Amino acid sequence: MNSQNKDKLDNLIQQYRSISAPTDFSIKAYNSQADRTIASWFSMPSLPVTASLLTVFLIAGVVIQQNLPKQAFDGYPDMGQLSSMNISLHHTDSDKMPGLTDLGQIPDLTSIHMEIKQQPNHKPENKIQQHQETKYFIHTFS
Amino acid sequence: MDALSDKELVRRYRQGDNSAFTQLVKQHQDRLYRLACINLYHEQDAMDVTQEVFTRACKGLKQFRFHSEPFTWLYSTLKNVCFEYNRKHSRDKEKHHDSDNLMLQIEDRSNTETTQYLIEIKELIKKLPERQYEVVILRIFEGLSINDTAMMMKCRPGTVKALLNKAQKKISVLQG
Repeated sequence: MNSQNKDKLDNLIQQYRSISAPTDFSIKAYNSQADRTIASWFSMPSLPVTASLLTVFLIAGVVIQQNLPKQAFDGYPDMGQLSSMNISLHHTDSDKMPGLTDLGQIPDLTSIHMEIKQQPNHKPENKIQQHQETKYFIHTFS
Repeated sequence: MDALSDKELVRRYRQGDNSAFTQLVKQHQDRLYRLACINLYHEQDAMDVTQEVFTRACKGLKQFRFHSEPFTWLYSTLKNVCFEYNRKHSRDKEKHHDSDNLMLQIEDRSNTETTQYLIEIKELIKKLPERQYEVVILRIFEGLSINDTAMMMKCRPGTVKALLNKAQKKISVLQG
């Protein structure tokens, strides 16, 4: 056994075991854990808390709706009335949309055609005039 | 290591007795601080690491299931925190191109006698593999029994003896 090595090792062991903690960690540990707990409240909300808040809001919403005064719904059919209601659309004379002939600006097409037909002597002098009349007819009534 | 009193302290702490936790901390803070000093690249982080371990214990021991000893749990937590700190410092070291100057600055800051002994111990056993390093610290420097060392390293007592034997062959000083 090497006594020199033994002394050296014993000295190192003694020095090592003499090292002690410079402070009391128990108080620091409590404070640090408390700080982390508080910080977690202001960071991401925990799922149980969020779920609880949502549940409270949902219940509060339902309760408020049930407590609305009946007068708030006057004039509006309830679900029972809506389901039994037959809604049909039908036209009356007053509901009829005005046609083009009612507008007054555009002449009746059939009357113009008859007018042209009823002019026995009206004959286009040539094919160009006939074409122009046709063109005018199309342009005006298209 | 008085395992029974540690377990009883944790039981009482779980029942709401905070003074039990305080007593547990005072029983083990010196040992954990020393282990932090020897396992960290920079021993000036030992205070932060030790505090982190006990902060985690504040919460973790409330869910302790007594499958092992409380100090085994504390030691495992300490190893994890030391690993995190060492990894962080190794990344910082990579960022600094002039790493030699950085090491000199750190040593100048921590120029105490204790630090000198720690540096000497680290120099002595730094060449050992991780498991042998751990056995030497726990068995020789901390003075734990073979069984307690095995419990903390989560291995058999025979493994502890084998690792210690290998370490002593490599470093003659450890033979005593």
